[in-house]
Amino acid sequence: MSRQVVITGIGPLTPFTAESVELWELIRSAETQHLTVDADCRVSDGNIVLPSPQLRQMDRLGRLALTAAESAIHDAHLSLATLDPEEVGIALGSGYGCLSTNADYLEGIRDRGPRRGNPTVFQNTVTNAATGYLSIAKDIRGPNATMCSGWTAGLEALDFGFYQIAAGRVETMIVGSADQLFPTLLDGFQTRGHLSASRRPRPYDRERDGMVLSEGSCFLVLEELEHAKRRNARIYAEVAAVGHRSTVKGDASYALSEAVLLALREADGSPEDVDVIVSGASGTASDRWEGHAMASTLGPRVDEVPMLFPKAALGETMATAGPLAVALAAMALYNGKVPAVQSPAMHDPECRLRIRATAADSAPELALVPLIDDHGNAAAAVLRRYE
Amino acid sequence: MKRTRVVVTGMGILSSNASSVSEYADALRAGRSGIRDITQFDTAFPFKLGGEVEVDDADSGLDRVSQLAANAARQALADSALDTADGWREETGLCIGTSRGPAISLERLLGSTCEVTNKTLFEEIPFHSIARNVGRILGLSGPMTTVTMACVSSSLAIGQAFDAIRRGRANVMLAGGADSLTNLSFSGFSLLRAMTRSVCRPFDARRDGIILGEGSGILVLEELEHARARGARIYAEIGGWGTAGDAHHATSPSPDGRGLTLAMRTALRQSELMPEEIEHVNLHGTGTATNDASESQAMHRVFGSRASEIPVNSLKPMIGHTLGAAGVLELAGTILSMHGGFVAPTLNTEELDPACDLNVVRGESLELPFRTLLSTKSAFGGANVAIAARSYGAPSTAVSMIQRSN
Repeated sequence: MSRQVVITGIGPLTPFTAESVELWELIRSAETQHLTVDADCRVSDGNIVLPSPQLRQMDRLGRLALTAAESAIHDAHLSLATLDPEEVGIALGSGYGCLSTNADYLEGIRDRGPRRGNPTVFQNTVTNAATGYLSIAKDIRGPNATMCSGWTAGLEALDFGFYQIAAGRVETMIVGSADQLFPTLLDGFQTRGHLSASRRPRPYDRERDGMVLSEGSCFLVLEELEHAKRRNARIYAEVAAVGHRSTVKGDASYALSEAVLLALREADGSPEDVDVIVSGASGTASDRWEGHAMASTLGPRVDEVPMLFPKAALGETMATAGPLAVALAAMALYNGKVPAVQSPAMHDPECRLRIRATAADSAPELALVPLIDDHGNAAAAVLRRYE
Repeated sequence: MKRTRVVVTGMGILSSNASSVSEYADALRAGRSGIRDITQFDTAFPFKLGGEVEVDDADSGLDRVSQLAANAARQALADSALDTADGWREETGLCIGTSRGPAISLERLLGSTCEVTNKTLFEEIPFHSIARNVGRILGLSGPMTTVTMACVSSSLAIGQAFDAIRRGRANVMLAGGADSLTNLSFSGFSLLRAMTRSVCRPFDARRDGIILGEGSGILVLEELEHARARGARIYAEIGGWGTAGDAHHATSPSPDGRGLTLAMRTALRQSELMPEEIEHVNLHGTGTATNDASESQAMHRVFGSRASEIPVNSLKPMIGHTLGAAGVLELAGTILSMHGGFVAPTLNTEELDPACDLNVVRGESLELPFRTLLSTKSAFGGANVAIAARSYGAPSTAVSMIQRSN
């Protein structure tokens, strides 16, 4: 496959950001990289776009996704109306998808009986309803896919889009992810003891006490390189490869190492080439699996490669975390710098990493985005600076 | 560069009319329906028919949808004899498609106050629990992924698994899907007035809706040389697949069948098959007014005047609409038909709707040797997937491919 795939638009909808420039500003300063919250991290309703009357039945997941997709398309200065709709595709990843809407429907028929359910709610009880609404709103008629492999689903959507373009099926893909908070989810993670009591996510810190659950949606505009050049698009970075592996064991470090090596191999790169890592660590016990995988794949160099910790600033956005991390990696490559981070107050020797606080202004060439979840999924994206 | 070829070397089937591959092939040839009164739950509607499956209790701790998938996956492994080879666990991946997923666990969780039970149920409710559970049961360590796209979920899963092999990421993929009958689906489709009040009769002028079913199908997809090296039995070759969106309506297909048309053309192009080479099309054929007419439009756009000649069918009157499992169960059934040299009948369909100007096989099976097929499915959200397959080593196909290369 000789066709190159580039990122030309970023739409990061989180409780703290709605546009690409806001995401970069948030991460650019070490002072704003660490989140402390006293309430659930939810996207304000005021920041979610109102769909057209034709699509007013959209549920919240769809509205989050539509808002982020519109932000990405706007960021790319892309006029979809000028493109052949069959040459544009869409892919959405979501860890929990429509479960919130399913819970709404099930609670309705539990209270009122199966003959008194709400059919408008029912039509949103498939996760791909969100993908469908986006395709209608933007007249996207090409490849259409919805992934739900846990929290790596967003990176799988990226991989799907990457392959559709690389294999020559279409020129443009709108890819991303969305996940939302709902009571069953918060109760479940609380019961499992995964939520931070201090309400402060501290990746790789020995005193870390869990994640801060958040929500949002992040979309990316992917284009075939020549297509992007023809319209003088701003090119953030090239997507070089996305790897995915999994395990049925608790320790995901080996699966993540495999995913990283697969992605590097398909990107014609090697561990020595990695200039920046945008970490998926969230401040839970699982951080050590990522640490082990980075140490085993990068070797002694691992402590020299600068890392970014988006979940320290944004919370755990579930499947949205992957595309958000890719967005940050793309912006670091585009801006030619990696912001300084706050190093952990106390390093955790079990994580096998020593995080340094220094910024890197040395024009990184290759970025690695590793990601694991508690279901045994592991994925890695490799991005390359576009010359 | 030599193109990687992908073949089907095993199948596992659990449907309302069969609990094995051979039973399924026999049932399809005989036109045997599995539709009867649902017993798992009170539908609360006067209409209680559905395609319910009998599943053993080997995995009784899991959500029903995982039990269905695990049963089919075990069958598929045994059918392929893959598990007799060294290292198969490391190089075998899994891709599962589901629409409703573990909806039964979610319903139980919402009604439970027991903390211990809730912890278990919380582990089950993500869609990905199906692939995770099946992976654990089989001890797989290849890539495991889950997709969800309503009624085309398992078709997308097969497409993704096909691509994984084409990309050299796996030599063997278990691919398919599962969905169980649920209160959620029965209530929702009834209230949308999508359910029949009598029988499911696709393409018939009197059709009035779907009948629900449940089940699971798993295919073993394998890279051709890998399959040949181990002497595997080859059911068929998957030529290619296509996916496309209607961009039309949340629940209704585009009346002109534009998304399905593009999906079919993509599958044909990828398979290096011309429309005139396709000998049988297994359609989605839900029995709703809008779906069947839209499919007919797509058939005419792709096949022109041949659209009313190619034998087509729908298997849903026999097994019900199994939602996320429909794609794999109906593709598997069509591949089995190709092996047996017949086209399964579309039960209950008698008087064709003029808006469905198609050669619908009705009544009894049509004895017909064929070597190429398309299986198409469509879904809520305007998603469409088409998969093209051919018999392995079919002379007509071989000739046409040689001619093209010259």
